[in-house]
Amino acid sequence: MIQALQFEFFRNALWAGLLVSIACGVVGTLVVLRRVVFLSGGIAHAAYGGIGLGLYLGIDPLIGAVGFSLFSALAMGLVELRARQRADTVIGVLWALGMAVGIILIDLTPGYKADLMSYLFGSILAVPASYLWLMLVLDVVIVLFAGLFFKELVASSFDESYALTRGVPVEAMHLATVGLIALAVVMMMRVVGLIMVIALLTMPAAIAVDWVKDVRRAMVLAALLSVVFVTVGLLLSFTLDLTSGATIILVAGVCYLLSVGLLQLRQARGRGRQPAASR
Amino acid sequence: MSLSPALTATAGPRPSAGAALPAVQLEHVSAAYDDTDVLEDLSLTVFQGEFVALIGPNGGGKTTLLKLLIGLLSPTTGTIRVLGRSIAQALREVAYVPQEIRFDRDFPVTALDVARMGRLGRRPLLARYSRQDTEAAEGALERLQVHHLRNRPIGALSGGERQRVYIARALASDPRLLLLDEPLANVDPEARVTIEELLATLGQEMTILMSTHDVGGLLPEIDRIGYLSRTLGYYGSPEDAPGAIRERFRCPAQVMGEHLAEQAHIHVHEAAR
Repeated sequence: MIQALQFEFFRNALWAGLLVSIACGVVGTLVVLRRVVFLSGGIAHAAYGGIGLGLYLGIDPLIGAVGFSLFSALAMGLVELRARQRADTVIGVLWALGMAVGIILIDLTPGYKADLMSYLFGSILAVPASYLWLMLVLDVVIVLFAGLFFKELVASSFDESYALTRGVPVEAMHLATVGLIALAVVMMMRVVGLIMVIALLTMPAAIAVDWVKDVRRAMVLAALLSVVFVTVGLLLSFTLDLTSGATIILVAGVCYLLSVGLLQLRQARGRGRQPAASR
Repeated sequence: MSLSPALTATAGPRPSAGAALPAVQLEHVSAAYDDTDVLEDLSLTVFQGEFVALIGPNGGGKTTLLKLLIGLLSPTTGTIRVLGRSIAQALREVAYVPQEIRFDRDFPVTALDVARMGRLGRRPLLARYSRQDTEAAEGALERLQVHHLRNRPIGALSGGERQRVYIARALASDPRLLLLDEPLANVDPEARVTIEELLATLGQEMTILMSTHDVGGLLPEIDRIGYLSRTLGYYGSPEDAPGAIRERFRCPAQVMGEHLAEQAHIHVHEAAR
């Protein structure tokens, strides 16, 4: 494994894992707390439309994906705000429409398209150095925004009605969060593939929120967990010659299940110790 | 308020209440949820310094009225003035304690974090909470005797403790008008006594409008009772209330059978005529 570090592509992959994990910790925690996992899945899949658009127009598919996911994210976010009863239906429709647009546009684009699988299933080992710079910029945007509007984001996630009565721009916070999800999704697409993005976005944060009762610390813990999952998954996939994205998700999944089990055990013990629960 | 000689006065303005400036003014207000009318042609004035309790059946519009006053809902017709201004302008000086319905037990915030949210309106965007905000929040927690729980996750508290944290959050914003939605529901007897005592004290400091099923020990503090069931069936001092309404606020709703509630409803309509 030490020899692996001699390869530039492997070092790039580790950097990519680190950069993605920062976004994953911050945005993933917001996703879990605001309960917008389904919406995040919709954004991730609709992003495929952006890949298709980029290829069709002959620009970097990544630029296409950034624009397209921001657009579809805002559309889904607005639907959630305006039509709450049937929001999940509309998100499901946009989810599939985005993918369909991508597939058709790719059909219409002549030439060789073997690389497309890497957007669906991820290829962290093929991340170019230029991509790392983009990730860094997106990380800065995400961390800066979450830092500046931290108290508003937490308050509106915890109790939207109350936040509204205190003058917090609740709708703007929702749309901004959805925009951050779009940025995070694009970053993570290259690492685990857009099909598995929601898994990496939510599992580290879900574990963190279960163990740490402070939003800021939960974000940091989620980012650290994500680094561990990506790195361990990457090393395993490299040594066992397995698909990197899926290996990363499996590592995260096993840890998530372990965490849930441990939590159950702890609660069962807690109940055993004080039979008259104060709850 | 219990010391006020004007306690027996009916709907008229009370001389002791800060030159009788209105804190809440509703004129011909109607409100609806999804095309179902909840409030119809409601006119009501709460004067500054008053302690008003709203009673009435479930779905009678108590929560709706409170939501109208903080702009969470817009009236379909009619005008609302709060503290002599529009709702948006007055909002900063109004604090709201919602009835707990949906709540994420696993949300990673402490009691102090929640109390500090009361300071949101006083901090501009981009600014962090200051030491002053934390002190205000801690002071409010102390007043509600839950300061020792400040570092506990909100989900680990009992119903009564959590209700007190929500009241602390409201007080942390230094309000002039306090709106409470069923503050005594789902609260253990010990917490109930604490909350009642505190509300009695707060009644001397600010205007309070509270919805409740059960006035309980607060009766002596209450200047006016409003019976709300789509329309305002009665609005005046507890002493002058018709018998059917007195029944309602003397015994808790849980004890009272549903048919009895219906009866009270009918009597009120007769009394109103």
